[in-house]
Amino acid sequence: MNTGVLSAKGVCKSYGNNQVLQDLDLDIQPGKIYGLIGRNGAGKTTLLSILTAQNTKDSGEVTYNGKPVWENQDALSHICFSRELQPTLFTGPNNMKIKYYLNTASIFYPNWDQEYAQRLLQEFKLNPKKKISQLSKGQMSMVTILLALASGSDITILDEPAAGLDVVMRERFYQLLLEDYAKTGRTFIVSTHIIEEAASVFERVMILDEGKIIENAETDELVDQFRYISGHQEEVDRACQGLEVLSSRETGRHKSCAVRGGATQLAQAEQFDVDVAPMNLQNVFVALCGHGDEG
Amino acid sequence: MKKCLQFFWPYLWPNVSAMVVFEAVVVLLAVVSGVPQGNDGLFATYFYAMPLLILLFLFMYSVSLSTACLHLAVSMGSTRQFYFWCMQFMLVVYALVGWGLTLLLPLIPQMGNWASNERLQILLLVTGRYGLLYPLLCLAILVVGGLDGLLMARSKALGIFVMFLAMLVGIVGVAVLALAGTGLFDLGFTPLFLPITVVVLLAVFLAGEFLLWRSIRRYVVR
Repeated sequence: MNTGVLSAKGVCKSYGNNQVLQDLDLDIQPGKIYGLIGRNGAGKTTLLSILTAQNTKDSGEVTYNGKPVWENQDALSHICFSRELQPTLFTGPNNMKIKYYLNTASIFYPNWDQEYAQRLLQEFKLNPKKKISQLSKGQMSMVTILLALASGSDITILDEPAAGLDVVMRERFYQLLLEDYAKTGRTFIVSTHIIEEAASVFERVMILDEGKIIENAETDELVDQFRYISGHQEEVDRACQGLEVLSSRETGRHKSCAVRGGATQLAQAEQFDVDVAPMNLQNVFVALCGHGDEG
Repeated sequence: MKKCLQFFWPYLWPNVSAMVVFEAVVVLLAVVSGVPQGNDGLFATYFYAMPLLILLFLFMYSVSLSTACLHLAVSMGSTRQFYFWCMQFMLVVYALVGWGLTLLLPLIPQMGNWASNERLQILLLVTGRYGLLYPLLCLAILVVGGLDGLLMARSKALGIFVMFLAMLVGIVGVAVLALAGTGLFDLGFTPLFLPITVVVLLAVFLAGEFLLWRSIRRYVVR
């Protein structure tokens, strides 16, 4: 049964010689909050655009409820992809007013909640008569958040919703997201670079690296597989046996490693005369996607 | 489909109203500035060039249909197919309104008993014996405008270049018609003028529609 499942199978996408997505497989299960993280240029927005039929793919298939999403009005009416707004559009400034975006959203999203949209407008202190080009980066993010939350769509996708928001607004956004989720149980996919702040909100995390989803797991389970091990070089080497060493750094005879392993293997590592420290999601991301860039 | 039509409505009525109001204002200013008495000033030019100004309106409207409107509709979940068909509806409405407004123009000097003006020939060109060319010209210009918008989404420079080129063609067209109206030279209309022009306009329209369909079907929200 594929009810409410958004799936991608073997999706490939390239821009010229740049292969952005390579044979990517993904299942988005209903009723969960997903975090999508990846480095700059990893293809997050491209992936989200393809999942929502806003971008073409070179090959592969994207389905919702088992039916292709591309040019499928029924499937598309269940999905909202609230993208970053652009201050310029085609030939000049984006002169469309906020209220025009809201009106359009109310037409295309069948579960649009106008009352909620009005409440959020007031809370975010947004003037609906203002043009998008007149808004600050943070205010543009507020509009995308408003559109996403009020859309009521079964699958709601936010691309960098926290960009430009101050810490208070970011906190408020996560709070609103959780409130909405608790009330509706709909699926959210949130793409972000501010990983640690959002980590507690994500039930599952997907890590996109070099065109592939390299992790798609429960956030806690994933983070629990990683540790930093540091200490005397030889002792660290012994402790790391049987573990996957993702990165290591040596300073004199002191060595520290980022490792991955099962619960038993990690417990064994703690028996050695080394310091074993947990990682947070951001550390895990750096360990998996740093490719030596982390220094 | 219904959603797309609902989406277009807030564009349709202000744009149509703008054309109607513009024509009304030009007629009013022409009357006030003494065009009926034979005054040949700026507003006489506006009045007699109205068919070409309407084409300019249509071109701009069509550009917006394939830029900002398309971007917004597809990014909010419209299918490209529905968008394309609703856009056709918009193009037809715009063409009909543009044609209707042009048909009204030669009636005004007749009803108001305006002093004869040779430049009236411009109006007769689009409403008289070659009258049926005008709606076809409107449709062709709308399709070209739509394509220009899509081109603009890919290359702003190229899109703007084509837009200026279209404006230039319009201005040259006005100049040629105005000069012909004053009898400075003869356009040399032959019996073949009408069928050749119809074929050319139809070819532009049909080829444009095909390209529009193809481009919208592959449109990517950036």
